[in-house]
Amino acid sequence: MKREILLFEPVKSTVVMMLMILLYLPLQSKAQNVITGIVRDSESSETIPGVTVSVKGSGRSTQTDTEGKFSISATVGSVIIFNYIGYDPQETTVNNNSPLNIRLSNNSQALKEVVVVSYGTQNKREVTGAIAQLNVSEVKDMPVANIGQRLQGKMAGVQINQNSGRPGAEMTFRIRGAASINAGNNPLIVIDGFPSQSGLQTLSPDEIESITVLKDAAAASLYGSRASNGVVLVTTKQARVGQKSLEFSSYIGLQNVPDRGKPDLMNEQEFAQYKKEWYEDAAIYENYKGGVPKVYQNPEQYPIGSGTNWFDILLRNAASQNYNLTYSAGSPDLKSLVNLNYNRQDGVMLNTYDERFTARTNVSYTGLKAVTLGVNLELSYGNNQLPSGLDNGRNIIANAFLMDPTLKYKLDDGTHPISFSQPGMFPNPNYYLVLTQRTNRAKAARVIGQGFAEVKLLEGLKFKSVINANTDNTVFRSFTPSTAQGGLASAPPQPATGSYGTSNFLTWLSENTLSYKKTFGDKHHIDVLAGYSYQEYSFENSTINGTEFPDDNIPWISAATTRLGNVGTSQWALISNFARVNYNYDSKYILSLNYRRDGSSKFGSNNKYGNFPSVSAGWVVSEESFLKNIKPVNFMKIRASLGKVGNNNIGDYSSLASLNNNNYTFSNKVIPGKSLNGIANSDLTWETTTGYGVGLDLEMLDSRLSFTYDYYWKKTDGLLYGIDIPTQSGFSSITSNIGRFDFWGHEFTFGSKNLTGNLKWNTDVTISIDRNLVKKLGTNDAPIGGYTEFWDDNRTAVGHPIGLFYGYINTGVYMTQQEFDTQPKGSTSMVGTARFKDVNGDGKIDINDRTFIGNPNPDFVYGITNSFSYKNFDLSIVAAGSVGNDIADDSFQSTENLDGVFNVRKGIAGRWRSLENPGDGIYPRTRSGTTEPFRNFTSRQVFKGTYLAIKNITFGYRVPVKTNYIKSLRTYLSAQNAFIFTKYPGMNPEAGLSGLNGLNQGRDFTGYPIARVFSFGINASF
Amino acid sequence: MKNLFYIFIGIVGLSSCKKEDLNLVPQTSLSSASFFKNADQFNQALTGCYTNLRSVVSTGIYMDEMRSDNTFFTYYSADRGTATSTEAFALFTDNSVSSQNLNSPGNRWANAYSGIAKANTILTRLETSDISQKDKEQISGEALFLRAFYYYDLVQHYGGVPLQLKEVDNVDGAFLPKNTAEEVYNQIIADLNTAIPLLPVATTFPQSGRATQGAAKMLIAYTYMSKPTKEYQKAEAALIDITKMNYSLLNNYADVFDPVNKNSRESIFEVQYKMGNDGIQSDFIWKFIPKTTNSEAILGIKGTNARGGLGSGGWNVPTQELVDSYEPGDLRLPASIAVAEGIIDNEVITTTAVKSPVNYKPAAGTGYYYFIKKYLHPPFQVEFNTNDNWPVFRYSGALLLLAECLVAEGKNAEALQYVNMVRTRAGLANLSAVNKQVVSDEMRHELAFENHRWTDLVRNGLAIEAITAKGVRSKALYGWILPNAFTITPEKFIYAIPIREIQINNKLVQNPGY
Repeated sequence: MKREILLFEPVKSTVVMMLMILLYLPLQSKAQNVITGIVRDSESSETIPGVTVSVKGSGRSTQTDTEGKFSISATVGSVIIFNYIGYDPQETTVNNNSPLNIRLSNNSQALKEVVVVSYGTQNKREVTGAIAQLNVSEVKDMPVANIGQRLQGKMAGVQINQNSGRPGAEMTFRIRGAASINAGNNPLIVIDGFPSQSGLQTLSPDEIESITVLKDAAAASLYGSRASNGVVLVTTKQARVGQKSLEFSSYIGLQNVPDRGKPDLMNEQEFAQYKKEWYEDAAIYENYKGGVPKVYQNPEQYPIGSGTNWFDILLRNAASQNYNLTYSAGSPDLKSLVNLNYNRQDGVMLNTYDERFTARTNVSYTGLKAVTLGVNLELSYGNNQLPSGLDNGRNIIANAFLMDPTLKYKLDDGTHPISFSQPGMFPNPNYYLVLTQRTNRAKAARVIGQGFAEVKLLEGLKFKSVINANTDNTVFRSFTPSTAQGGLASAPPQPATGSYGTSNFLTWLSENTLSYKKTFGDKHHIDVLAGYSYQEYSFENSTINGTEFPDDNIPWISAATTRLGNVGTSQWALISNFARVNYNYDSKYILSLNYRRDGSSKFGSNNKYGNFPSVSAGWVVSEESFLKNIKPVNFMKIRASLGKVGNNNIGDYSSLASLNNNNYTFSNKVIPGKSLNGIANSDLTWETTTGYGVGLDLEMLDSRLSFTYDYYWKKTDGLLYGIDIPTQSGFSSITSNIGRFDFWGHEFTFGSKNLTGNLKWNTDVTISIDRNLVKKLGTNDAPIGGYTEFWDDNRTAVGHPIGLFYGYINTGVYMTQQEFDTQPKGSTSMVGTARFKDVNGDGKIDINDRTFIGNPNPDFVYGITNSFSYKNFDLSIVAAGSVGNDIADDSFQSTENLDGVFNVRKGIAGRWRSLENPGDGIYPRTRSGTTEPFRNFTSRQVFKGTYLAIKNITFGYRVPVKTNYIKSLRTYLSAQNAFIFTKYPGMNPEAGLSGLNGLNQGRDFTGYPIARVFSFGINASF
Repeated sequence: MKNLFYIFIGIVGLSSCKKEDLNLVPQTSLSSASFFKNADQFNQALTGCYTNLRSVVSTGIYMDEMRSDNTFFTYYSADRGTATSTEAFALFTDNSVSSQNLNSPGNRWANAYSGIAKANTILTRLETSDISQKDKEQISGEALFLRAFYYYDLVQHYGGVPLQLKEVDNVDGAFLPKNTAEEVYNQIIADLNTAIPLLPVATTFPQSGRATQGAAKMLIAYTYMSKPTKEYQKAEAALIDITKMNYSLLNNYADVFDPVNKNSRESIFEVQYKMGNDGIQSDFIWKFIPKTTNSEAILGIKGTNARGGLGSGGWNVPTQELVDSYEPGDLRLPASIAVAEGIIDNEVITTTAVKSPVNYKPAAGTGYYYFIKKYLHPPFQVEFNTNDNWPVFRYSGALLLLAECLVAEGKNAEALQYVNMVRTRAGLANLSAVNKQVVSDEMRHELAFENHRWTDLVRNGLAIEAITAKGVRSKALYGWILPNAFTITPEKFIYAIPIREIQINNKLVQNPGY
């Protein structure tokens, strides 16, 4: 019948339809049927409880029950409407009595979404600051222990790097290129509204509902003095009304370290040959008379495999596992959710692991009139074993691979030598024993909890009071037996050492807010918030070091003959007032004003208080009549913001000069002495970041295409840092507020639903372009860093971007006497030694010839996520990368050492040996006393860092289930850190000695290797 | 609406009651605001001011003794990294970078200025303090002596340096330009002249180790004799005063350095150390003995000093030329130097015997290293933890400085008696006449390894000759020494200002030649 009608012309059809309705109306009312059915999520097929089901025009409505089922009386031909928050409404015409199978599609991608903002939530349409939100369900399959890893590449303007593969390592965040000097650039982590001290690693990713990043001052200024590096809002899962579910998920993964990027060092035979030649050259050029040591006289005696691959013996294939159970139940009165999680990651380096058990319960009660009460409580227990010296630096890994490869870490009889001392090389321990025999345990018990009461005072007016607390009690214990003691140049056996210590902190926050929401005259919407909060933090720690153990048998300091202990403590407090006014006119013109005033104990007596205002505005252009008729555009909003935030991440007492113990002895007795540890600065105050931004949000073609663009400019002023001052003052630095960095950048986010049929294909792309410039440093503009000739690679200097690489430009080798005689030389130069560019043109090479030789700041960073689904199958591929940045590999200082003390890169075989045999012009001679400049920080150690990493590939299958006990079951295979495409020769282009800290960025110094993880997982709901 | 407004105001108003919570101070240490209130606290600060003496000693080992013709180091081919900037001082290849690196960041420059800042803080705050006059005099006397001592250390090693004379309480005060060497010497003299009447004369022995009038007179004598325009008469007067104080030579030369005799009658000023867990121990001997696989053969205790860098042995090794320069029968040779004999493999010795250097001939099939024995006083309990003090000024040094002063004034005959006093104790026959060279040689042997030799050579104009000769001998022995090493010019009499200071303070000008 309908078909026929559609064949008519529109006007006519309307008339006919009206007639028909009039005719049939009485008939229909007689043919009232009970229509039943079930409502499911269109993607997950999970049933949806609590959906409002109504018959159009009848006033009848009901809700789906806990199993998504409904029954409602309706006549054939009537239209039933299904409505549920977060889903697109759907209408269905009743044709017969058969049950209806309704699939609602989730509209969480759409701009109608409610997003978490500072102190509350907001309709995404009305957001005027720069924020990025990710619902964790979108990335739930990544087999990683830290939520940060799941966010990589997902949010424009948010750079997240995995600097280390150490089990339990935190990811490093850098939002909008933020950089500070001493105050760091880690964003503030706010868990359910609480700026807690425990990091993201404390939380299981499975208990998190969403992550919101507040990028600009307008979005973040309600966090005032802690917001300049951006704010990460973590929202944990809550039960929903009508929900009753039990979900179990788990994965088991196998981790291994890919070979790509391991240092290209000599094998047994190559190294023995190199050592032999080294001594031969010493005999020729240095009058060395000792002859080639016996062990190097016949390199042929060391075929490959006869010695040790010192890198590989420290590694293993390791397991990772995760089990999560969520129970949630929601009634209109009481919503409760319990999440239990166990995660264990064994490290790919021997003798390392990290495990974590978390239990969370989130409960809210609305049974009382006008009052809502709630508790969110997380208990977390962490336990790890991580021998010290695993990560960056010339540490266990680096020291091990610098060993003579002809040595055997394990003898043929199965025993392990405890030390090695090869001719012309440092004595060393056996690093296999160092790694496997050292105990370094930490056990942490943490609590993050909050209780709140919200009272509705008048219509639209609410008062909310929240008490939050976060505490962490960590006990750590270490023991190094005599056989695993020492390091480079310090061979065991040496006396065993041990330690035992505790550290604990407690921070609590009391917060009271009033909010008022009202609509005047239909179109004026006003939303006001004001509040007061007080937060306190106190920290205590203790350490007892034990020495002079009688033997290695008891790994506790109770066995030590000498035990020395110490304690420390610190506190801070923060008093704040804040207020916000949001106004919007007809959802078209939006204005938001924010203000916070913070008083902090960390600052000088003259400057304890700071004010942090912001203003932002939005214009929803698509609501204007001139755009309403342009069909392809569904939504368009233009945003602008201006604001100021601060950074208070300095030491707790930096404004004070305190007194250090400085004892001396008179009359052979210890006499207590004291000396000032610095110069007091009572003017010390906030580092502030002031900036503006503009943005555009666009949705087109039925929201199949979405696009967000942001531009920002900001300056960080009054940089808090220890300005290097001449030591003639008695001190090397003073913590001060002098310095300015400027930042600006562009952010792009594209989303596209390429295919929406049976085969669905979505693509999301983020691109972040961040730039910075140093404008002022200290009173004298003295640069930061780059003062020493190696391992001090970055220099931050006025007029340049932050943290450029600063060193010599290597130009090869003085190949001939003529080159040597005619070119600029250093004080130890000879024919055959390394040559450098005479940057200042004074005819000689010295420390003043260093210059900027690389830029660790990328041109842009990006992320691309493709997800596909077809029937019960789904596939997602997450990629992230960086373009145009340089990386400095600090291991070259050791692996290109020509003194014969370390294993070296294979290329050194082609070094200069004589005028007749001058080599490839890259590697200089081994003449002692001339080799140091070559391994100083030079252009040789700087590499292009552009990379594309396939972070994760997940292939999933939804198993059709027919039982009543299981609602849904899904299994998946996943590869984490699947591939990496880069010309960077090192292992990890995201390596960072100090994370993403701008001042020391881009330095790869042999971090804990990053594993590739293959895993199998299941998600089941009951 | 009005009520709403008041509720908002009420909440915002809650803040005012808690302001005192923001005034938090560290609980485990005192802050500058609450310190310097009484004499006891001033005395604690003064004690802190003495601690910088230790780095004067530890840097002096390399920059004063090893740079001179007395000692060299044992080449350790494995360590071409951390050691090289230290070796540069002996090889005269040092520059503004090696100036920076030695004991970095506690280089000599920063250490002396840190001591000066401590003294300046005490002196500045004493001005407004209401502690008793007696306490003020004692504290300011010692503080002025120490400031003078640290400035003397600076001017001797860097020439003209910035004169910081007030507590630096803001950034600008840290950026002063250089003064001339003459100005620095004059400041030292002024400080010492103020300090001398405030300081006590040593009367009871052993002394406590604090600064005394004798120490101040010794320092002022050195200053008069070192400054560009010499004032020998004033130096002579100060040194004669010292001979009238209560000092005397101990009978046995070796006893002078024994920790049992710390701060003895012969001691005018020494840097104090104490073995144990208090962090104020010395460790000289661990650096002076050769890198050895069995330290117990020399020290009686097992420890590791074969590693590289300054935490290892083989530094400040007496040269053969020094050993040969002792007169036959000089008791100071076996008291000052010993021989470790053993099997040398990979530049590290497995010691089989410790012997006297007097007429030493190595046993067949063995190698040997000389080492400084002055500071070897077992037993030890823990490695790198010894009880030895470091002599700064000794009475025998005062006698020889007096002799040097008299010779410089042409009063050679008057000088003779003082030289012979020292020789007699060393078991040597009296001389009948002295000259500059004789006094210098006597001083070399008497004060060997006490960080005087380099500045003594410079003061007496003997440095270029002595170092050039050392260079020729060393290059003949060691093929690895670069051809341009041991190039000594008067510019090398002082060191390069550390590169960091030049880069940060643009008012500083690098010393010529660097």
